[in-house]
Amino acid sequence: MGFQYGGTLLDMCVLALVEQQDTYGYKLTHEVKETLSVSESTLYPVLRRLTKEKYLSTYDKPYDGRNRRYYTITAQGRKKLESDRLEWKRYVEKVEGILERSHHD
Amino acid sequence: MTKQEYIQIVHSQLSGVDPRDLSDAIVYLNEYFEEAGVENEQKVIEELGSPEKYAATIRADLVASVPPRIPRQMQARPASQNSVWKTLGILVLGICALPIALPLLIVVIVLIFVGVITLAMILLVFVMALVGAIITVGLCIFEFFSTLGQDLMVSLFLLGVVLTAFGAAILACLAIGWIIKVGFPALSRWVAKLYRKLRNREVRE
Repeated sequence: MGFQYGGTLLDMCVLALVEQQDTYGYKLTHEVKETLSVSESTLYPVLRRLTKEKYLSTYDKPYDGRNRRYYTITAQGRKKLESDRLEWKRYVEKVEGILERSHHD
Repeated sequence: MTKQEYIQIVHSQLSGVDPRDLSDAIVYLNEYFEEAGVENEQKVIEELGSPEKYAATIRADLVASVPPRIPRQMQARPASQNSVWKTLGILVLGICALPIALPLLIVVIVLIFVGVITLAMILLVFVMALVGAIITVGLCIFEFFSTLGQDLMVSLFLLGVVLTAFGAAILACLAIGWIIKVGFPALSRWVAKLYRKLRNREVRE
């Protein structure tokens, strides 16, 4: 169907994934790609934006002779995610309410 | 295209952006390639799309996050500087327009005055009608009772007059009430509207 995962929706999903576990760009991209089928080039802007708004922070960890930049969620990020979750729940309820109604008529 | 070439193109496409944003983006891209491994280099290039498009996505996101600057000119000018010149301008304009404006102003004032007088006269007419009707009612009732025994026709006629005068009195009361409650306020509101219209035209010019 035509449902898209762009914009704030994607931000919320990325935030939720990072909350579950600190992650780095490549790994996150493939996790998101598996479930949401977004293009690979979309992820960096999301990570950049979330970091700039202080919902995520980064730290470097060497791995196998190279560097990995990990993203981790901040306290602010957790708060944002909580309010996003509530908003999402309300949003879904509203849409389902309408779909249920028109289904029964 | 090699990984180096790809990154080089992205780098050059992103020229002009904040150097910190640029280095962050390139570090990310480089790490991405390295995680995929040398063997997957071409696959990554395929997945990411053309370097120009990849750079364009990044650039668009960077540009979008810069808050738009409101040009200073569009903001409200400080009131004091505005009103001094405006007042002076209106004053000069007023003096120049005096030969025409003054007679016009007099005409408008006279017309308003005439309007008020007219309404007052109409009111007076109805008041006099009311008084006349009341007197008629009084006299005719008296006559009615005095002629009742003698001349029936005259009595009936007088009765008719009484009733007519009574009706006229009621109508006169209604008209007076209307003029006082609606007429004068409407006139004053119309005058205020005219005044405001003139002031607005002044302010706008």
